[in-house]
Amino acid sequence: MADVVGGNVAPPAEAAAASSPTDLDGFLASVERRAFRVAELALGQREDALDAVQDAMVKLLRYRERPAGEWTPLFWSILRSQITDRHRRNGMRRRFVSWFGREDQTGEDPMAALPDPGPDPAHRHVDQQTWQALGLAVRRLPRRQRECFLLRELQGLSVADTAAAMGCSEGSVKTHLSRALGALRITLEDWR
Amino acid sequence: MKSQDENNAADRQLAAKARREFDSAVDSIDAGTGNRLRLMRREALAGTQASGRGWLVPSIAAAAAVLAIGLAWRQPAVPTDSTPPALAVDEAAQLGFPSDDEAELYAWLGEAPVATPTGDTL
Repeated sequence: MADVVGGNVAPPAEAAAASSPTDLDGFLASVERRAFRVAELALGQREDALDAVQDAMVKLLRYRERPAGEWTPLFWSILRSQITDRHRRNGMRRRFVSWFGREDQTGEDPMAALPDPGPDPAHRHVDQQTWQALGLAVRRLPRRQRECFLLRELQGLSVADTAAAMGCSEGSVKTHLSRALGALRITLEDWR
Repeated sequence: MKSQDENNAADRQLAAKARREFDSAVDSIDAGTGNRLRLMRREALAGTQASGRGWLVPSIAAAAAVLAIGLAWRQPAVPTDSTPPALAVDEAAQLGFPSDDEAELYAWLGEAPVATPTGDTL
């Protein structure tokens, strides 16, 4: 587990950290697409994900005077908080709607309606199914495990940056990630 | 029951596949979404540049207020129409106000001793 959790193999974003941009425009350009996909996986809604990324961009600009090296954990911390807020808001909206006896949607995953162009229809279909299965499994994880998996494994932050973004210790990051992977291993049994 | 090593290997495999899928999804973001992200970034950056000059408006308003107060302070006091004019002597007499002589008489009467039925004076 230590190989995966401890980060002996540096994820791509971690390896690219050395060549991080020093201006905010360059920094945001380098993270915006990954941020959108992270938010989309966590929220399952394209528009919600775009809103979360936009708000995170605006909020990061308040810290533009900070050293460029601090932008990465700051940005992901802000985005994590935006995602959490939207999760709560969506949960309240669902409860409110169900209180009045109207089912919210048809129970289908909203990501199923997302356009996901691929090289050819067959490959695209497989990709789409794989992506949807990953999204469903990730959203079923407890919040801290989900955040840890998204930031550490998918975004590829270092353990230290993940801990900073989540506001917890590095040991907690390893614990959350270990549990997340254990849960995903069971949920995505057919996926591998 | 799988061993710990088997689980670790399965976790590594799962994490690697998830990362591949994620990277692939990032690379295949459609043009519309990519453009929206770019636009959002530009708007966010333009917002901070505008807010960088945002201090000008309150500063100008504060300077104008100080100037207005200063001008008002330096203006000489001008009597307004609401101040009643002093009464002329004739008008005072018509209203029954005592003249200067009468005022002296009343003052003397006020200070003069008053005789009582027993012959004492107060």
